[in-house]
Amino acid sequence: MTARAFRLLSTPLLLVVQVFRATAPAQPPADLAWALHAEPGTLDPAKVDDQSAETVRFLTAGVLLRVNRVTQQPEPALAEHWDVSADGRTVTLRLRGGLRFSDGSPLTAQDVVSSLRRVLDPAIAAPVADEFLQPRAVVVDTPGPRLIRLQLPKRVVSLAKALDQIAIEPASHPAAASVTAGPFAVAKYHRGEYLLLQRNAFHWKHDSAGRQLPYLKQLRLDITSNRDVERLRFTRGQYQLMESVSPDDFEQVAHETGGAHDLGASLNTEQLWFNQVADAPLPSYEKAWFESTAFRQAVSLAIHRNDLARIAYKSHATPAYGFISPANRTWFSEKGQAPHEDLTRAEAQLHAVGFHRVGRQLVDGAGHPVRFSIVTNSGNHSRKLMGTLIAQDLQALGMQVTLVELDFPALVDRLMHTHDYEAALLGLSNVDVDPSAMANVWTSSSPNHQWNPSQKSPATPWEAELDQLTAAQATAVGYADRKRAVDRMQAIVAEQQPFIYLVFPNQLCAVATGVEGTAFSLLSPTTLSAIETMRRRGVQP
Amino acid sequence: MIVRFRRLTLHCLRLFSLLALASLGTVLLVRCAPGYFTTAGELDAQHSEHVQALILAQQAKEGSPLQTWLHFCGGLLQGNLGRSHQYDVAVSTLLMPRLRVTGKLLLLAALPAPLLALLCALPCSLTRTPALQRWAAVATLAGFAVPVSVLASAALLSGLGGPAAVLMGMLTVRDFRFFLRLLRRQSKAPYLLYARACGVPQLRLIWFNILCPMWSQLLSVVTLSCVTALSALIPIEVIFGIPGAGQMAWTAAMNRDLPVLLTVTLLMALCIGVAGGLQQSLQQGARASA
Repeated sequence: MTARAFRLLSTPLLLVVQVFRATAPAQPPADLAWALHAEPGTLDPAKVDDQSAETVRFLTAGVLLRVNRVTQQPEPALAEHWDVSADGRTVTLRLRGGLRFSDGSPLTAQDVVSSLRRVLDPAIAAPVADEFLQPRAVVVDTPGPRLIRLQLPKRVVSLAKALDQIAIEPASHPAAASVTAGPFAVAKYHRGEYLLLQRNAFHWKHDSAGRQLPYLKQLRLDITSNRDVERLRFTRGQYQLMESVSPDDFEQVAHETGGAHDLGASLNTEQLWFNQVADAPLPSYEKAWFESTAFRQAVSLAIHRNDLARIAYKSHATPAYGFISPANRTWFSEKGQAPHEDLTRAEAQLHAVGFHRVGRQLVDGAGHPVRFSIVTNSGNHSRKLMGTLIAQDLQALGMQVTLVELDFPALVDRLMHTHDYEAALLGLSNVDVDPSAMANVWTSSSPNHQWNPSQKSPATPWEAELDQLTAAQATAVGYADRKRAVDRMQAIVAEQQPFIYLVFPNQLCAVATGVEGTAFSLLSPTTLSAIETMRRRGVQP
Repeated sequence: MIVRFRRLTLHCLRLFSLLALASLGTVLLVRCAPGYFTTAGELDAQHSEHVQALILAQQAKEGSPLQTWLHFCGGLLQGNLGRSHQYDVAVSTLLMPRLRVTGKLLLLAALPAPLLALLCALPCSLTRTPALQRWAAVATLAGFAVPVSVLASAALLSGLGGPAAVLMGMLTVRDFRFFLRLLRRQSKAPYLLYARACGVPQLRLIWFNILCPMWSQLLSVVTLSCVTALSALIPIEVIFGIPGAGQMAWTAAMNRDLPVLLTVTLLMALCIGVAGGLQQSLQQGARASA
């Protein structure tokens, strides 16, 4: 009877033990594994329009020129040499000899022409085509067996960046990253689970000892949006990289693994802005506040950026007073910065335009109490803390501010479509050091001119000047002319404060101590810029 | 026979209405949710124009919510679940591998949970030790009071158990409570007192006189707990980062991916409808045998 009872009891107990041992589904082993925070929207390199897909393209695409993420300068890749005519409208590239795709088939100038034409084809709607200003008018041909010529209708300032984003694929079968000329090719893609990348055995690049690159044989990119899962897997040694670490997790990751890195101010910005859309569903007196430069300047003067960086970002952020990060040394202007915190000056400025206090409450000239809400996205702890701190800072001026968190689609709907908000707190990810990447933000007719988008004609003289300067910096030939235009843009933004810049979050990342050959860059991807020479310690390439 | 056929037809009709209402409700809720025709890409200064052109095309294609629903139902009748807005692939392609993952998780958790619950409920129902009764009450209360997401987060951060363990723990607590109530009622039956007095061995008594007569009632509790498991799947899969159907439903809801959300909702409604029907027929069987 005891034996029977034991059998009866042991079966469910064994099952329970099995259940406790069960974790996430098993994933294939790889030399390097890390997390993508979202599913890549596409693997077609021509159609990439999200961060995850961009990472996959960076790892797999064979490109004519590669912008070195560390030096931020273009370097030869599939093209060993390139020439740009004096007027900037004719570009001639010469391919390396003996190039092959990852399936062993030869890579010819015809493949390059076909890939470029595919990207420029309006039917494909490739986002990178916009870089060519008039993609339909671009002529691509092959004047020689290894030569490719691009004839542009207009000079393209960011040509190297555009070519860095165009993957050369086999002309006969564009293969969505499974046949590539880059360092890796997609071997397996389990939607929602992981991407497995296999080393391209025919990659053109070799190290100084003549060994073929990349050293790593397999990469696994797990698709997981849960940052806690990512951190746990990294600290447990299941992941070797974290492309970004939140300020809240940084100390813990640093303490537990010793592999966390703070690279200093990133190119990204966090900013606050007021809704200045003419037909926004707001009372007219509120619109008048938000359109007042003095009001915006006073708000800016009341916000303590150092506290935001210290408290909301645990000191892993740099106070911001302009739209170009000090990390962007080529374009940053010391003169184009907004004045620092000064509560007395803020009060004086408000007083000068008719605001006054009734008790502790600030009211405008018509007696309307200054109360407004700031909308932001839910789920971003640092942003939520910043909102709370800003509300406290503005309370010192007598303003009553409420922070409202919305889920992302609802927030985008308000910002881009209904314009039903008073102020917004959000960040902007800058993927390029060149200010022309931000042209859509400063041009008044653009939908990304957030405070007052899609204007038929500039609403204010300073927006008209911004439009002119944006166009001028994009077409000017010399650096000095472009710099002059960009400096003036910085000065206008610092004076008018359409965006009140708050902080530049620091670039935080983590690499396991057993990974060698890493190079960090401010440009995305942060930890992968030297992927071809990265290797695991103790593993022979 | 005719009664049984009529009952089956009625149940099928009820199930069909449930599915129709669930799908219509989902379409209306998602289409009317703020931010349906938006994507985060609109805020991206580099890609916004491209993204907005895609949104306009989608708006023109979808028409009114009713048209969307009719279009989906039409596609469903032809075996077409539609195309995911988020990933631009057929929903069936997206769903099949995830259903496998979720199915495995469900099996791993839902099989041992009732057995474990029964093992715990049996001694509690047969003995009258006050300490055991108190422990049972406290454990049940705690199990019901702690939300599954908190349980999952605690398990993840402490590394004490995986997703299946959390799901099993939650189901065990729920099953335990119902089993205990059923077993207590059963153990008070006069024929059991008589059998005990006659000296029938305890295990024999449990197997032949308690469990065998109650199997249909116990099974109906298990059927109901499967419905509970379905609702717990979403937070568990999201917190543990399990690429299953629950996580897909969450991502679809966050990104207003209507075709995916509709399919997952219909699948869940189907499971709940079938489980409800099964439970009803089990109860009817139990009543008939009584």
